[in-house]
Amino acid sequence: MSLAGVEMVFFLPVLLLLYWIGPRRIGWQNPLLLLASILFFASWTPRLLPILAISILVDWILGRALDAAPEDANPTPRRRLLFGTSLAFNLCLLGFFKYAGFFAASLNDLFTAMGLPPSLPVLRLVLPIGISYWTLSKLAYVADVYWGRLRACRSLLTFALHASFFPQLIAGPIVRGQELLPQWSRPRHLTPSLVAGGASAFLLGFALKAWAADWLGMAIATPIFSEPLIYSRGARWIGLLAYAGQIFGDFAGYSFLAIGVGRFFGVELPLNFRYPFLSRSLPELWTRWHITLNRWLFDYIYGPLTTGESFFRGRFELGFLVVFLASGLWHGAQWTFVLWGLLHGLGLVVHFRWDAFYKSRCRRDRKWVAVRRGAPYAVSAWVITQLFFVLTLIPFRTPTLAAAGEYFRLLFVRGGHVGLPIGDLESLANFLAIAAFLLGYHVLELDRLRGLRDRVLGLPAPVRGIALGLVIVFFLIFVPVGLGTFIYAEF
Amino acid sequence: MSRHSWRSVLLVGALAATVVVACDLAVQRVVPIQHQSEVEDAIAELRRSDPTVLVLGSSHARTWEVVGEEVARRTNGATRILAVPVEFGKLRVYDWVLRHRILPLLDDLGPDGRPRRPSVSHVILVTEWWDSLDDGTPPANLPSRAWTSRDFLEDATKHGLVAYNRNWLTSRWLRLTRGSILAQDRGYGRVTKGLVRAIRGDDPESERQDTIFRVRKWQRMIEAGAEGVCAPEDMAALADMISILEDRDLDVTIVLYPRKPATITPRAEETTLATYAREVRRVAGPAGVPVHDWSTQNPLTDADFRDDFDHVTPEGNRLLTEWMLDGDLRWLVAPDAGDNVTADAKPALGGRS
Repeated sequence: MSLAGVEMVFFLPVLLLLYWIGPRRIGWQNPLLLLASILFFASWTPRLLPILAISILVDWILGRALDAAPEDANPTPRRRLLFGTSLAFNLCLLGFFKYAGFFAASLNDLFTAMGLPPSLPVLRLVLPIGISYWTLSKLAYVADVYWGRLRACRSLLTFALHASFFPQLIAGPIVRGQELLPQWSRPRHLTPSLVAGGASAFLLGFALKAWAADWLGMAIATPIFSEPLIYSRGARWIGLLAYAGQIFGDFAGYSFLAIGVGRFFGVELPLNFRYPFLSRSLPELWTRWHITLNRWLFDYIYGPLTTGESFFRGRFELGFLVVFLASGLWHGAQWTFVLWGLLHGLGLVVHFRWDAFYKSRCRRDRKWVAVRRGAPYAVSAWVITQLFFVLTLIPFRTPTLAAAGEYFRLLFVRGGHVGLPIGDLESLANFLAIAAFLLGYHVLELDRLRGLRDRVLGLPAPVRGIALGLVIVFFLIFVPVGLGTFIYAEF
Repeated sequence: MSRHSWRSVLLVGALAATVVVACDLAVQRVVPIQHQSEVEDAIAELRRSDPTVLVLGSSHARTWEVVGEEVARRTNGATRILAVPVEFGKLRVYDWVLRHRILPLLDDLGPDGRPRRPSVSHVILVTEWWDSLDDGTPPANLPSRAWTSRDFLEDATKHGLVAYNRNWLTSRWLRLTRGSILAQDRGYGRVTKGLVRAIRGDDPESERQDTIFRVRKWQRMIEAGAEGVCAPEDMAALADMISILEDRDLDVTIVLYPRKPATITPRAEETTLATYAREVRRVAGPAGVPVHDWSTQNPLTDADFRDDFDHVTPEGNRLLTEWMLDGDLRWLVAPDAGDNVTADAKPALGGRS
């Protein structure tokens, strides 16, 4: 099942009805949501349901054992062992399903390059859906219990629901125990704000995913990335920008759908995207794009790595590289993702060196502070940040490193004679409308325009009702039946 | 999240629903909903009735709804035709429908141990080249047009919810919203085209250009069909259907349905269409099943086809009905005539070549 799929038309109303007509007690609400989450998972890969169940059970037991183990200023060997077991178990599980084939194929390539026969069997395993998300979520839980930031969850049922809550199961947001566990321990009540907030988030998510992302991918990005040679240079650039819009719409859209559905059940999930195309630096970008993943990477890898006792202590730049290589590998078992991660790690290193250099100039001469606050600096910073981000999406989209290099080269050389793959007026209108939607979505967050957005959202209820009706009519007419899968659900 | 009251939330919801319904009704004045029979309707009708002739095929089988009315009129109801249209074709899908949906009803016995539907004596299989084309994808119309909820659950339990079986859910949604043109048209473009036409009026030149473009597209598609036509799985399904029906002592007739003349190039006629007709005859021949190839030999002109270039207009259906009842299928109205006319005899019937 997917949150924007036709199946939700049947699944969601029945579930909501059962959820809200039943008693407002966690004894009713939590088991029902767990059952729904099991159904949701099984609807993707029913045979792999035991994997999720075992992994939940293992982390619940280890969490309880950690809670029972005596705490000290320094972790005791027993606590280290328990935490290490969880770490090894989760990483082995993730590694086996997601990376076994990749490493075997890479080693075989190496053997071939050395003149040896490729001897390792390359496994093509079906991934348990959302494994990258629920593994990180459970790891965060065990780590927090280990570090004493969180008490272990006493109820297996509650922990199972925490790890598998269906709106965020397949593509995040990656939740933490502190955010969700308290919500499971008290009954949820239906309020008008929840309904309105849920519907707004759901509608925004649907527009981003089902309209913007799917159309941009199908009509622009896919044709151009499939045959870049035949397209003009301008079309190749627009194809790349369309892909940026597609991946943003796909992932941010899914996150908003998850948040919206969560609210329908009285559960607040963390925000995952916050106007990323407004970012004027890479650190800012990573606090706006896939917020919950980056928060995880910095809290559970970067922090312990650069402040712990290891070789990496104080080596912050090396820490960036490690974090983003991990991020790249997390996104996919391909060298293109590794390159993407490496580029962003290096990008952060360059940013921080530039920042240190600029601050030293500011200390010497205060006029540089004024320059930094000026519009030209802000615009330049925005252009450089966004250009870097968009260009690094090339290896994210292309299947091989060679294809990535070729697409990058083609952006700067004369192209073929085919323009944009937009054949008729309706497609052109759709393209412009989606571009205006994505642009407007971001621009209205700017300080000067936020007031306008708030005024529009604060219009009287009858106006909002009519506008909502027209938006639904628009979607009914223009959003095609049969949506693609979420790009991020495959990570 | 900002604070809302129940009053404002309900007001917004009610007004939004009102706008959607009002827009739907307004659009229906410009673009009416077209209700068409599906496998489910035909099976429901078969449960209720005892036809003498079953017609199984793609959407083209709907022509036999018109034929059925005319035949019933001429025979005073002695010959009763029931068409089972499986939208979007494929022989393997007809075979599935025959095995899983039709045969259980034909084999169904009443309390006295006798068949509930003893009158079925003849089955007409309506097909065309596309029904045997292997385009590398599983036929999505099977779940969407022919499955029952049980078939869906069995498949979903085995494979999870995938794009293929999700088609069943989509068709459920479309059936639930039969009264809404906005829901029915979701993504197919009839609404936008109808609205644009209503606002801008007819544009003969642009329509002419569009027609030329689409004719060429159809011509290329049928020519390209030579590559994958007569897929072994589909031809095996045809043989299977013939075998099943013959085993039950049911007479079988195969009709290759007419194509819009403009979409057929000489090359397509010589390759795709000829190959398919030859292969169908090869499969049907040993069982003595008559094959009537109407794909290019029929009384229809381009004007008798709808805008989709694939289906026949109501007038065209009436013309085709008269023609077939005077020719290849005259046994429907005069059972003594027998069904012994073969495709070789076609020119004598005055068909267009």
